[in-house]
Amino acid sequence: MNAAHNLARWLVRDDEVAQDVVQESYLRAFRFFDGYDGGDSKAWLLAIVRNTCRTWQHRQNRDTKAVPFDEVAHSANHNAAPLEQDLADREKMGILRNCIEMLPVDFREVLIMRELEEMSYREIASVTSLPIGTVMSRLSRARKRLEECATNRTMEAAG
Amino acid sequence: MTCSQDLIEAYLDEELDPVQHAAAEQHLATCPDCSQVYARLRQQKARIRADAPYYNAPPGLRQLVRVALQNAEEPPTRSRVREWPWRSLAIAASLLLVTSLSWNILQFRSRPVEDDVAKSVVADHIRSLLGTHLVDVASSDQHTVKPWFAGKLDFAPNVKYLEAEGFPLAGGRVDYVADRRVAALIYRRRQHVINLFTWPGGPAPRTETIISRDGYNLLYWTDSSMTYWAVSDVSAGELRHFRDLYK
Repeated sequence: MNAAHNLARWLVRDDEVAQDVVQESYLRAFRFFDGYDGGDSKAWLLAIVRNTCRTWQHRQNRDTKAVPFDEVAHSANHNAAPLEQDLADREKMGILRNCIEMLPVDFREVLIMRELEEMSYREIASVTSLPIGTVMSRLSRARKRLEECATNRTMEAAG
Repeated sequence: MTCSQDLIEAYLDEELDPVQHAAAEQHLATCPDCSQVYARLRQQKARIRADAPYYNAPPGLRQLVRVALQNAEEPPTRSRVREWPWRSLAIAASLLLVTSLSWNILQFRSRPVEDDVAKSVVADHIRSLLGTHLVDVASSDQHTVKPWFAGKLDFAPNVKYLEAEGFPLAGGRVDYVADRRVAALIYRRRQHVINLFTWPGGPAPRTETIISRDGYNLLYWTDSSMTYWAVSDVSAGELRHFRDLYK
């Protein structure tokens, strides 16, 4: 359940929502157990968590009728659209962690699965239903963006 | 080998097979551009692990989920009454599997003993190849090798004759693995050397996975009384084949 919660928390970036997502995911897993093909159960569960997060995100975007979350988060001017946290909070959070949260969800999810869950490319491909080549290129772009973001923030903080 | 971001990252993520891994390692040692890229990526990886929190499930969540799952069970009807217990059982089994998986991962992470042994075995293997000290007793006859260990070790290693299967015995030596004296048996596979380290006791491996380390493949197994660690640069498949013959 820790893996499910960790992924959900990084995808939705909110404690309460993450818990709801995990709960919802287990219910879905229970309901759709017929869909389980006997393969890697962790990948299967994480795939459900991922889908549940995506559903939540769609709902969120529709309800607020806002620009999709991630576009805001990743707009060129970071200061224009602060997230839930105010700036003071953000400074406390640590640059790297904040930069990961700013990554578009497609990049963030592969990075989290690779670096925090320590999953192989194949396992990530199975969770996301993406070809391994796509997993690799997203991971690579995630790393590149993360480095750019961290470098910029460090410079901002210094200057 | 040419410079490739993909390869560097696959190397970083330990996704290459031993041959590719060794080739990438060699390339990184000689290409300043790539080694710089690699160093930056490695640093980033370390920073992510250090700075990005792993959000464990809060203690109350398990209970919440349990209750939610119980409530989700519809009141049994004629048609469902037989289906639900199965379903609950199946889901319970699956969740258990997930738990045990995470547990295994934790075990793996916190398994310094196995890791120490692997490190030690690879170091011995490399030392035996680099130096001149590959064998103390050079013989392709197990009836020469086995008695040679008597008096040098407090146990008698199990020495097998596998020449007919393509793994000729080259000899034996006494070596140290994780601070104990062990028997090292040297087998050859074409131009490659397989060092087989063996000593009494030890826990059985939980999985059959090949461990890859520094471009070498490692495989370990146990029988009723002994632990065996095989290390070589032969392919994982050949190492498994060797293990199966030995068993």
